[in-house]
Amino acid sequence: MATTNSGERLNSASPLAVFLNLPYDSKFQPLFLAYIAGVTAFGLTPRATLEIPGGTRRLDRIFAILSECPYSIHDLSRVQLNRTRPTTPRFNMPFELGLAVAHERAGHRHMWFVFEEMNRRILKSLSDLNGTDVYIHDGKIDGVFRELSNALSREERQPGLPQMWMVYRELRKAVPAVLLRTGSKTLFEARPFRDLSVIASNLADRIVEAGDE
Amino acid sequence: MSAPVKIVGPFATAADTAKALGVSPARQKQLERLVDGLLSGRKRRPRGAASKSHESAVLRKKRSPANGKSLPNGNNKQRRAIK
Repeated sequence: MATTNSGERLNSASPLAVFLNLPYDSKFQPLFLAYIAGVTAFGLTPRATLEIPGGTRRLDRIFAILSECPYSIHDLSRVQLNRTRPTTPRFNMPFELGLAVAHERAGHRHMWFVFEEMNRRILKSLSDLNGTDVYIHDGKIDGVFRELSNALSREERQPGLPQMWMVYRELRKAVPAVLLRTGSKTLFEARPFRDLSVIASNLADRIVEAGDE
Repeated sequence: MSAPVKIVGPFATAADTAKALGVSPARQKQLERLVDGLLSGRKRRPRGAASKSHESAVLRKKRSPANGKSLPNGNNKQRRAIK
């Protein structure tokens, strides 16, 4: 069972799940792996819209996954227009953040965190969040680990940055095997995401626990 | 929101994660073996032995133009310095 820092208990279908709302592009791949490594090092299960199969109404499934998670992390660092014509910004991530905020405001136990690459940029891109703590990772793996450690804490088995790095490095080594086994060309698909999450969790079981002894 | 949160209680194990994500037990075993391989590979290298990246750096150096061939830009200062 999880609690807020004010001692409130969090109830959910998956009490240790965290919804990762991240950009799915090749440049973001190192940070994508860093988020998976970091949250599993904290003993949490990553969930993402990547799990959603085709054929179901996407919005229903997004909301179903989000509402199963007591935590969500929203990385709003992709504010640029994409290059493919017609050039458009991506609204999915701020939209999913809005769903998380609404879910919490509707009285559900849900804690959401906003991550960004650049300090103060969010005041321009999403000024409604003025007054909200935003975790700035500087677009770096180290920054993701640092900010996850600022956002989350554990009394027991608190992972350190070296342990998160260790999980990350081993996870990165597993990427070619995961792509080969799943027949995928990218990590941003359901099966690679599931495999990577289980591998990272397995690594965290061994690395973080060993570090505590 | 966005204030730091304290997580207390259980740690989601690989089995918990696999269950939450709908990964079959057989697949989970395969992934566990993959992790065994990754971690045993990390431990197998004896202390002080050169890493793969170090070895490839040495090989690159051996193949570098300074070792007997002209540099592509015609600058052979490095070569002369070695002689």
